[in-house]
Formats: sequence, structure tokens, C-alpha cells
Amino acid sequence: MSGERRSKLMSLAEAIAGIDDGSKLITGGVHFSNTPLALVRELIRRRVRDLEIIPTPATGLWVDMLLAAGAVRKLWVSYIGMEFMGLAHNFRRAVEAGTVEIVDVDEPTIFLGLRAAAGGLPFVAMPPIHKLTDLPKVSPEVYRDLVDPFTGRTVIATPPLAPDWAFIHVAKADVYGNGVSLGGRHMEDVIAKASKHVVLSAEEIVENDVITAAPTQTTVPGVLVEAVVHAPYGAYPGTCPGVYSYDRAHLEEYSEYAKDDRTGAYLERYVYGSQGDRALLDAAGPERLAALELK
Amino acid sequence: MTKPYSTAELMATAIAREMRDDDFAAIGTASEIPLCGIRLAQKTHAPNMWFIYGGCGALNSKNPQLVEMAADFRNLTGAEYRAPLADLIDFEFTGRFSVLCFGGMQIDQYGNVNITNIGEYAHPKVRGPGSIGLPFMGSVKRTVLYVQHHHARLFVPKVDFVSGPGYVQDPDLEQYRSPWAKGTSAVITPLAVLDFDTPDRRMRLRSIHPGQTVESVQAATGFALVVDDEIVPVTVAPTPEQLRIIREEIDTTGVLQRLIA
Repeated sequence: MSGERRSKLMSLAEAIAGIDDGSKLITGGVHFSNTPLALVRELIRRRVRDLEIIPTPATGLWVDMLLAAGAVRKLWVSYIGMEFMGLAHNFRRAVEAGTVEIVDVDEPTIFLGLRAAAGGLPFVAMPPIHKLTDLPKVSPEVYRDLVDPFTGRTVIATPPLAPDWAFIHVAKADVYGNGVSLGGRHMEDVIAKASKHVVLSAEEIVENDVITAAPTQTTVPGVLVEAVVHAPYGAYPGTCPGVYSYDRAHLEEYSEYAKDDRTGAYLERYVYGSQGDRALLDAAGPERLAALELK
Repeated sequence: MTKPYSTAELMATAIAREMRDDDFAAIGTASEIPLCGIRLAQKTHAPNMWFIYGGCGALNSKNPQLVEMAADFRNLTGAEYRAPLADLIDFEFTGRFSVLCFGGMQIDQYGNVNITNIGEYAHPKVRGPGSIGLPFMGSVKRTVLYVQHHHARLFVPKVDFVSGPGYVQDPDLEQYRSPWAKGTSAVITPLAVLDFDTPDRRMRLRSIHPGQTVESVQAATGFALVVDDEIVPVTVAPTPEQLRIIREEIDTTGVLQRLIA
């Protein structure tokens, strides 16, 4: 008996329908590059609550938006900021006001925590450099002293980080979930392996033979992916490497709203009540979007 | 009299002088100045040095424009490899990176760096972005610090949070530093070049930028700088050839001419 290979293609809303309040969420991308913002905006429209956010080591905008939307209970922090735009205002206010639970960590702690979850390792042992910093004092649940059984020296153990859901954005994907980032692989493979459910959004859905013509270019293998969403401008107003640049004017607009503690009005204007990203992309208009194209 | 170079270009040439031909460097967020310094070093006295631009993962980027975003895919222009984050972390822990360039919200007299919070941790006055790669100051061979401001709220006697370790003054803690990690070799600011070449590892004024005095730099610093008895030298200004390379080959859109007011 022969069957047909199952397509994982679905709508934004269908792809995230299973995300419960209190879920642990991670997204791929670095700073404003390849951040799966279409999926984040859809999650904001769903008004999910009490998320535990495990951000990649250097990011900001999507976390800042979810904080403004009141969707976050707990947040791991390596770097939450707006890179060249400065501080992430909603993040800054939430921590200063104590309205979100923070776990201060750093780049290797997040990466190796995900690596442990990805490989089923019970924990990761690191050289004890964090003992020279204040991180173990403020996050003792993450940094535990351990005697290295081979050398007898003190090292630091850090636990696995296993998100329930991962959002990853790429330039191209087929309907089976094989994804290609034109900026190369950063850590999406580790994120996908560490997470229970992986949703892949793509600028373009391509035929499987585009993938098979260059399998070494696949940055996320479909075997790890549960849902595929066609999301043109899915990383806007950030950049999708090789497809479009970031919209600096819109990022500045967001920062203005955020600085004035009016991000709610931003979300009303561009996110809530919109069918997918229509409100946002209509406001940008075809000319502005065309001007961002990367050749 | 207007100088023929900008403060950021002067800082970039000072960073270039910190780089050696056998270096393998890494830079990250807000790195226009160290990026320019490293590429200038590669084009002059250090043709064999390598560097990775974090975010985009470019090894030996040759982008002819300084762009504001580290993760900008255009930084892969002319690069020889795209390093995934795993590579950076491996190179940072093992000391394969001989030099990292970092900035911070506070730097203290022993070179500890804070980018986490100003004020009490539980009730911060200013919450910063977080520690990110700064703990690796304890495991890379050396660090070069750079800041775009120099004032007494940044250069403080003691940081409010140690994100990146300087000299920690506690032998029980120093044992946790990787044995090859030698700490910060220079701090490059808009006013001066500083270092820790002192018996007790306190910050020393190595050179003052043209137009500054020892007093003006000290007045902008929140602790007493170590000043050697002799006259403090003036930071060497960019040569015409260095400026030509910067403007014609590295920073063709003039970012460093506008970066620091």
C-alpha cells in the first residue's frame, strides 16, 4: 500500500493553535535578523498569557513586544536589547518594576542548556569562569558547583533548557519543513532539537526538488518540524538575510512607542484585529517594502 | 583648529595598535570602532590575523561599509566562513580567541565590566541588556574594552554588577580564571587610552588623546587613575595613510566620521 507524503503547510493561526498559557517559548534569529515576528504577532493576537521565554543569546524586539502585550511570566536573559537602537524599553520597565521573573544568564549558558536538551544530556559542565562574575549569586538555580570526577577540580553545572515551542524563520522551505536560511545556520538546528514543537515560517514555499538540488544548504531539517507557515515579510521590520533588509524607520517608530510606554497603541495599530500581518504590511506599502529588497 | 580625523577614527587606530599578527579576534554588538580597528590592522601590520563578527558569524568580513547591525548578512561579503554560534562559544571557552572586544555600562578601577544593571539588582535604576558574552573575559587570552563615552557614571570605583570579570582581588576566586586569560590589555575611550599595567592591577592612564589633559581625563573618571611620574604621552593620531585606508577601503560611507559627536 502506498501513501502520500504529508504536507505540514498550515495557516499562522493553525500552526500556533496548540500553544497553551504558561508554555516555554524560544525563537530563532539574532537581533533583527530572521526573527519570526509574523508568528510572534499571531501569538500576541491570540492573547496567550504567562509564557516562559527562553530567548536566543542576543535578541530583543519580539521579547519586548510580548512583554508589552502582558504575555510573559518568566524571562531568561542573556541579552535583551534593540542592538543599534539601544535599550528595549518594555523589558527595561518590566525589570525595573519587578513585574516579570528574571533569570540572568549569558550566551554559553543558554546555548549549552539548549545543547543539553537537544542531546538528552543530564546537564552541561562548564569551566568555572562564571564564579568570577555575579551571575551565580543572582541565578543560583542555574549555576551549581560540581567536582569534576576526572580531575577533582571545581566546575559549574548548568541544566538543560527544553522549550515547549520553537519558532524559526527562513527564506525558503518546502511543505515537509526543510528550511533554508540564506544567512547560514546560527543555532537553529540546536533550537529545533531542544524543543518539543517546532513551527517554521518561510518567505517562500518551494518545491521539494529545490531542497534536494542542494541538500547541504538546508539549515533546518524537516524531520524536526511540526508545522510550516508561508509568511512573506515574516521577519519584518527586521531583516530576512538574502531577501530584504530591516526597515529602520519602522524600528524607530516602534522604539518611540515603546519609549513613551505606548506599545499598547502600537499593537492596536499594527497587530490586534489584523488578519495576519495585513495591517502592518498595508501600512508599510509596496514601495517601501520593495525598497528593502536585497539583491 | 579642526582635526583631520574624527574621535572614532582615532579610537579605531588605537584599537588597531592593540592587534597582533597572530591574533584571532571576535567582536559583537555595536562594534563599528573595533571592526574598523581590526580591519585596519589586517591591512597594515597584521595581515595574518583573523576575526569573527558575531551575529552574522562572518570570518574575515570584507564588507566595504561599516553597518550598524552585527547580524547584518551583508557582513558576509568577502568572508571566508560562516561560523555558527557553537564555534564562537568553543573558541571563547578554550582561549582560541586571543582577543575579544567589549563595551559596557560601567567599568571599574580593576576592569570589571557591568552591562546588567545600575543600582540594586533587585530594584535597578537602569536595567541593561544582560551579560551576553562578557563572562568570557575570564577565558579568552585578552580583552580590549572600548566605550563611546567617558564620564564618571561609566568609570566608577566599583561596578554594581560584575558581568565581565576584571581583576577580582581574591586569590580564592582568581583560581577559576582560565590559566591563559591575561585580562584587559587596553581600554579605549573618546578621551584616552587606559590599561592595567600596575602592580595592583588598578587602571592606569597610558595616553591622553590630542586636546585632552591628565586633569580633564581624571575629572571625567570616578576614581583616581594611576598616572606614571613622567609626562603622560599623547595618543598617536591616525596617519594620512591610515585615514586613507579607513575611508577608502573600510568605512566608505563615513560612519566613524559621525559616530561620536
